Amino acid sequence: MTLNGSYAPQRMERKRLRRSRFEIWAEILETCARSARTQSWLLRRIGLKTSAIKEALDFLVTAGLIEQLPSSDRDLGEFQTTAKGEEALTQYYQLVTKFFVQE
Amino acid sequence: MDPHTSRTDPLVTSQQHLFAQIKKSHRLFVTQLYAAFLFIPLIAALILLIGPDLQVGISDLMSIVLFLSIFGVLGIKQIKETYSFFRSSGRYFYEIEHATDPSQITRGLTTYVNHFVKLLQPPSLLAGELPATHPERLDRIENHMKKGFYIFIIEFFLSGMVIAGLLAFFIIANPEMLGQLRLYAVMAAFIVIPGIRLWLFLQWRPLVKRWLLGYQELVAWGENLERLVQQKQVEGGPDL
Repeated sequence: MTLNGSYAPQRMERKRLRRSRFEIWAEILETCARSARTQSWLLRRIGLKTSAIKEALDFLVTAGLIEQLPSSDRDLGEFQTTAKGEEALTQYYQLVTKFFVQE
Repeated sequence: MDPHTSRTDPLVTSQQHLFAQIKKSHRLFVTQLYAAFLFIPLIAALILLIGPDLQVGISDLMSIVLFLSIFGVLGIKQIKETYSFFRSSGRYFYEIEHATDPSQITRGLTTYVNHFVKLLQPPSLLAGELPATHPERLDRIENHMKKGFYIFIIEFFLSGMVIAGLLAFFIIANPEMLGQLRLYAVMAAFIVIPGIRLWLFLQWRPLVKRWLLGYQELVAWGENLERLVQQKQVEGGPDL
């Protein structure tokens, strides 16, 4: 038996590991918390396409969840999670923790 | 005092609480892996300890090897799946567990959680087929859990029947083995290992269900962020 209790076909594995935008946001918020990170660093750490990371960063900056630190080049500029972003990340942790609490 | 290193730092505290909970499921994962690994050495032990004494033909031995190979393949499949998860996410768990300063935020917990959720999701719940907050999702989770339970029970009893049949065959083929300690050692192992697998399954099952149900809340978290951005664009936006 597989871990999820079924016999999932192998071809589904790649699809299953594709992350949703929500999951990407959470990963970026955590990665940039308390430490400024460049876009290139995020690309390496999170393992996404450039377009996907740019799209996620645009959203998070617009939402005020991360901020771009001043730099002449966007690609070299650093991003850091804001206080509002930390609050969102805290909510994420609390939600996941709730999964484990016995009913 | 730096508020970010304080014990009351909500981000660090919530991360630590989450990690403490995740440790339990991670331990179950590790135990499952060991249990799966033990199954294959046991098959080898059975062949090495009992096989040479059998007074049977080559075709009978080949049949036994074929039977055992089928169950060995099932074990390898589980090991492969668990190992792939460890390879992609285990290092994040290791980094968090071995973080030098527990009062600081560590990175990789969200990645671990995301991989975990993806690994557990059955094909019927994959994104694109059914929205995560769709009411029918709950029914699909229930059906998935029932199906998983029936598959496990069938597999469990089939394994038991095959192992019992093999042991009976060995004893009939070589009755002198009845007085030998090695036969009882193998029999005990074949009772204990399935017992551990059953216990793991019963522990693991509620965890899987909670993860699958909880995924909807993660989606709700993301949708809430999207909604706040939309509101912000219209009116300046409230806090989270």
